[in-house]
Amino acid sequence: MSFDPTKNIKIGLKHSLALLTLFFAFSGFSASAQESLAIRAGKIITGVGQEIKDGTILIEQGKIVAIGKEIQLPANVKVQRYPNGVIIPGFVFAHSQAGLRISNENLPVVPYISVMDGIDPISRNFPNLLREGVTTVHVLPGNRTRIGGQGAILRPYGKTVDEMLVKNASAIKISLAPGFGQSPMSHMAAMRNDFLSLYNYLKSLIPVEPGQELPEAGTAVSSLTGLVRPAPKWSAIDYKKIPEGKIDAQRMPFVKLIKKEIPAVIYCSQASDVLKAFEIMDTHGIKARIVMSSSAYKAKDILKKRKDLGPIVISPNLETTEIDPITGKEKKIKIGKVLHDAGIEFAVETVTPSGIFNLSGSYHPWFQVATLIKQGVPKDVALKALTLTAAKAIGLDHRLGSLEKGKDANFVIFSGDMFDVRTWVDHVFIEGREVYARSKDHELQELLKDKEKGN
Amino acid sequence: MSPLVVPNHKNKLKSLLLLLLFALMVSPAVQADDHKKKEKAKKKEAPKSYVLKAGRLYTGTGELLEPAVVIVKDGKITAIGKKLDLPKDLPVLDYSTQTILPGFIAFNLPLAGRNSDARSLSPEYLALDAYDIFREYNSLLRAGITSAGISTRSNRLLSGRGLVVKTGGAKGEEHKRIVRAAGGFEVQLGEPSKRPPSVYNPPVLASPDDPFKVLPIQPPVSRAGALHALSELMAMAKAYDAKRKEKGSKTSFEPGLEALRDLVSGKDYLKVQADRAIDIVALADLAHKNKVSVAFEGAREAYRLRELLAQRKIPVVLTGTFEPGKLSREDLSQTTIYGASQDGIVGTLLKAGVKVGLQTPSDSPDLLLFQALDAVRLGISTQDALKTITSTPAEILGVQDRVGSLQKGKDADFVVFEEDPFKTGGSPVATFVSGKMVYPLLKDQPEDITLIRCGIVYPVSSAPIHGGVIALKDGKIHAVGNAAVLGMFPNAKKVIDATDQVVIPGMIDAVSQLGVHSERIFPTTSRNHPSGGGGRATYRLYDALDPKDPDLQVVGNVGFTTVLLTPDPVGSFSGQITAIKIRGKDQDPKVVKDPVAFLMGSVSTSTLKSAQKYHETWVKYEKALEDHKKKLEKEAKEKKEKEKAQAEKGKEGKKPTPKPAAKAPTEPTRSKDMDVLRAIFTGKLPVLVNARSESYFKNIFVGLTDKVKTKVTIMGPSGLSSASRDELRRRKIGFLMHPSSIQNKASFPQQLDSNGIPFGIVSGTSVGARDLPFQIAYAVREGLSEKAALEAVTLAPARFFGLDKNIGSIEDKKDADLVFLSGRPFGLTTQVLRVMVDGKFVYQKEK
Repeated sequence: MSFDPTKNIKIGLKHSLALLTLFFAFSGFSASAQESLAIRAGKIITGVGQEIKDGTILIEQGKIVAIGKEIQLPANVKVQRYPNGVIIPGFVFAHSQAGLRISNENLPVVPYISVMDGIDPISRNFPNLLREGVTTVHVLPGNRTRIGGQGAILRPYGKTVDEMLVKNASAIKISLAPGFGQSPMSHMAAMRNDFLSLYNYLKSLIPVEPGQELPEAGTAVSSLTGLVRPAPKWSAIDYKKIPEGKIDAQRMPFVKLIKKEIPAVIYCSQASDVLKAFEIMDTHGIKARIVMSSSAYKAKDILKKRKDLGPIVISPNLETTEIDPITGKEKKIKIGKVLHDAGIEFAVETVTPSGIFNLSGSYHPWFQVATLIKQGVPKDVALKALTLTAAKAIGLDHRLGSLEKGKDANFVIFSGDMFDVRTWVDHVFIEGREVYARSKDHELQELLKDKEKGN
Repeated sequence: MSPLVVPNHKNKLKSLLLLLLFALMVSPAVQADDHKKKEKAKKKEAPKSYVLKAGRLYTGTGELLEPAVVIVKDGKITAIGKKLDLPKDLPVLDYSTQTILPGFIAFNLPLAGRNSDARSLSPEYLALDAYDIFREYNSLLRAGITSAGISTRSNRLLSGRGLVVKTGGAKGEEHKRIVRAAGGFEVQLGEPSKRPPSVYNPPVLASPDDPFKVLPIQPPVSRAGALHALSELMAMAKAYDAKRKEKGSKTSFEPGLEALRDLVSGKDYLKVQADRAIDIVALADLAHKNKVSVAFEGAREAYRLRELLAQRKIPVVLTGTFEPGKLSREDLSQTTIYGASQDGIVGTLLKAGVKVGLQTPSDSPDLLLFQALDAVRLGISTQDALKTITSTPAEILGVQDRVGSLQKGKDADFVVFEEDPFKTGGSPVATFVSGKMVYPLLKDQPEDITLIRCGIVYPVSSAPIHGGVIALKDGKIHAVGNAAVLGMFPNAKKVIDATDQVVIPGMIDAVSQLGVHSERIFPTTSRNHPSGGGGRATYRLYDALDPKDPDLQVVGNVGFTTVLLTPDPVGSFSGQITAIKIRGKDQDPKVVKDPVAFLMGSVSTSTLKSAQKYHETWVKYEKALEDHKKKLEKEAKEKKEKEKAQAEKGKEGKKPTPKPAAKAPTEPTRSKDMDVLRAIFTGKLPVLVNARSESYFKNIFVGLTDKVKTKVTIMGPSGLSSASRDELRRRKIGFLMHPSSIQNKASFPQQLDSNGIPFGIVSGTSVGARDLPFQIAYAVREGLSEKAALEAVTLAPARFFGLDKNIGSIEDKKDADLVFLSGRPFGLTTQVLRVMVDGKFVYQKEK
């Protein structure tokens, strides 16, 4: 492929722009990726339904400024060519415990802790994620804490957690799975109480004249179940009236949740938990995303009717078996297919590995995509479940998840077709910078050394 | 964004405009299409409104309607009575020969798991939080249980509030299964709730103001402790309620006490598990003092307090004692000492005026009806027994406005029984929740279903079904079963009423010479016969069939829908057998299978040997031919490659001398007769072999069955030695007999039946089949079982000749060939009323 550099009079301007941005560089990561770069590849899958043969991506300051088959390139741009390469958007994990050795605190209500303090930046999880082509990972506390800590959205690349950080305090984890020694009854009663006591606490902070006391919590009726449940009167709390610095630092993140400054991620361990998640969202007016186990698919019709949910995140197990009530035989439930047919937008999780390499297929993002396709989900929807829809589930779809103009230059270059067993992740780019190259992956080379010799 | 990149805006705009235009043009069409699809989907769904007819209907409130009509609209009952003005636009669900009961109500099922929390008093806990509303409880629906109280079930004094749900239905809107989200505070008195563990409940955000501390040991240890804890809780709840009612109340919200406000204000009740009289009386007093309602559960000693319970209008839900395999542990001597009569505890309490409900032991939740039947056995009335599992538990659970009885305005939850369960027992055939059938589950909902409601169906492949229903689709049987089939296809296009008739599969005459008069005039043995004469393998009696022969109708009208046209047993290879279906006078008969079998007049070892030799020669030839073809292909390929190599090398070298082509194997001499016979060696064509006496059997076994792969059926003599019978059974050889076997020895077919030898009875003549049913009726009178007799003219011959995929029994996917009788099959006065072939009536008896 020959490339005729177009003569452009605006070269000088371009350079001065680049210099300018150098001054305004805020993050250590993106500052280093200011140069413009063009990537040419045999095929570019944009992740929004397009496939560009022999396409080019032009990157400036970590963002995609142009993508297409025939695009004009600036004169002195560095062009990297991958004639056999297949480019797809970098994978996004919407719910993960990567880098956390212990993901649950033993106290049930810990909104004040943050995964930022628990993540081990030199954990093997991260290089492993890069090797798989993952460019963004939403790390959240585990499913065994009632009101868990705050999550963070990271790049799996960097020496410190701060370097890896994309977004801090991204969400607060709420789990509807009862903790050890608890039944769903006591778990939910305690959950209702957690919100009540926060209300009572905030109420106590606002100085009032005698006789002007703020209202006590009341009750409200759930629209779906008809249950009369305790309901704090959050609208009565005027946060401006709370003296500065009066709110306990430990309670602050929980308060932010109520103020809708942080969304919640609610884990549903079974279908009926979905009704409880709705109860929490309605009673306290919080923003929430649903993460659900493989048995929660039964609530599909009810999930579908609710319009404010955004994509649902489904657990790594994409298949479950149950007894067919008609035939009495065990039948396989293809969760991806069932949800897609129901018209539900969903993102898919992968298994967080414990060792260096995990043999289970659902550890690999491409395997999850392939499983969805095998179940009968359309190809683009299946890919989106780990790219654009996952980005939407973490509220970053304006930046991540697809290869479009203006988005972060996060992508993976495969050595060939993504689902071919002989295909490898050759290169991974995050914000326009190559963060992984198989040729430099010493760990992988060490592991495959003997194999390639034929032993 | 860099200004250096100039995207092609113009093109983009153009394409956008085009797209927009296209979308505008297409969208109305798309919408219309969508609309159509939606309409179609609507049609396929079961109707939400219909008229329900019942032979007998118990309302659950003490009334019995006979017959009954119910109008169901959107899952609710809008009218019910013996006779109603029926709206004409509604479909009819006709259960006019069945009995309908209200859906049963299980008072307390422990389906919310176990509340393992350690607290003794936790009124704010909800069974709803632990119950999986999405689970299918099919065993309950099968048992007719449509609603259930779900408890918090725990060994704690007051463990929380129960829940009332429907056990099924509302697919896609499962939350609608909730009838009452919270109701009934579960109290456990007696030993289980005593000595609870102490609770360690650290403050989540510990501070100097709220330090970690160990809570004291919890009550209760004794009955007094339990009662004290409860009355204290009651007092607290009352005080809390009063304070909360004040305007501008400063009392902060306490979830447990907030929940108990419903109790002290009379909206909710205490659901107390207590067995001992002393516990019951103590709690009854506590409830009385605090003016709260209470219901007792379990309550084995309640009969001792019946006057008190009646006076205070306290209901009791007893646990039935029937469990499969377990004998009653009740000390019946005690009941007599304390004045209980022979009526059992239920009767005793009812007589005293106590409201009594019944529940099952928790191990067998599906035996609710059995507990009520047990109570009937002990002497209480049917209506009272029904109330104990329907309206009474509904009333106690506080859901009587929706479920528990069949009355105007209530949910259409009902159970269909083939016969009155209080008279004959039996299990439900169908269960409905909110007007929709939930048991058995629907497989699919095809359109164009015709239903036949029968008096008795004899499917032959299974036991007779009283009140059976057959669903037909496109001339085939789509489903067969009890009255549940009616509810499965509420959209049926047509319902044929045959409730006073007996339905059997169309009969098969496996050896017949029907409709071939000309053949009888020119005996087939004659070599001058136009067909070339009988006694040869290519001979086919079917060729001589006169489709307009009136004899066909004579035989068809007695219920034979399929006959096998069989040549005379002449020579050793007598000819081919053809199966035809008789389809009334307006249609010519149709070939079912041709040839369906091959007839051997006798087994001649030498002829068989030559046939086998012929077959083997041909197999050899065919294999050789195959090999030859492969070889040629290979050679052609090699030749091409060589030429290619040659071309690459250039024109140097000599051209290789072409090899002489391999010789093709020579074809053996062909014989048409022998060609037909090859099918018996490959197993493709069954053989019917004639044996005039047992002495031919050895020849058949050794010469035929041991040599050929095909299925062999013997048309045999009228009597068999036990050795022959053993041999037939061992070799799984079918046996066909002529009615003369019955004449000689009426016990002969019985003998075969009891020896497990499948047999068929055939006419062997032209119109002889007309009298065949009556001949068999004679055998039945002489002791042949009805089942074996029916099989002999249906499934047995169908199996012998490989026709059982399509005919021979009333089963899914088989042809709808049915015979409608006035009485039992082979009843001496039974008449054939109608005959159906491929879903169409081909004969109707004139009235």
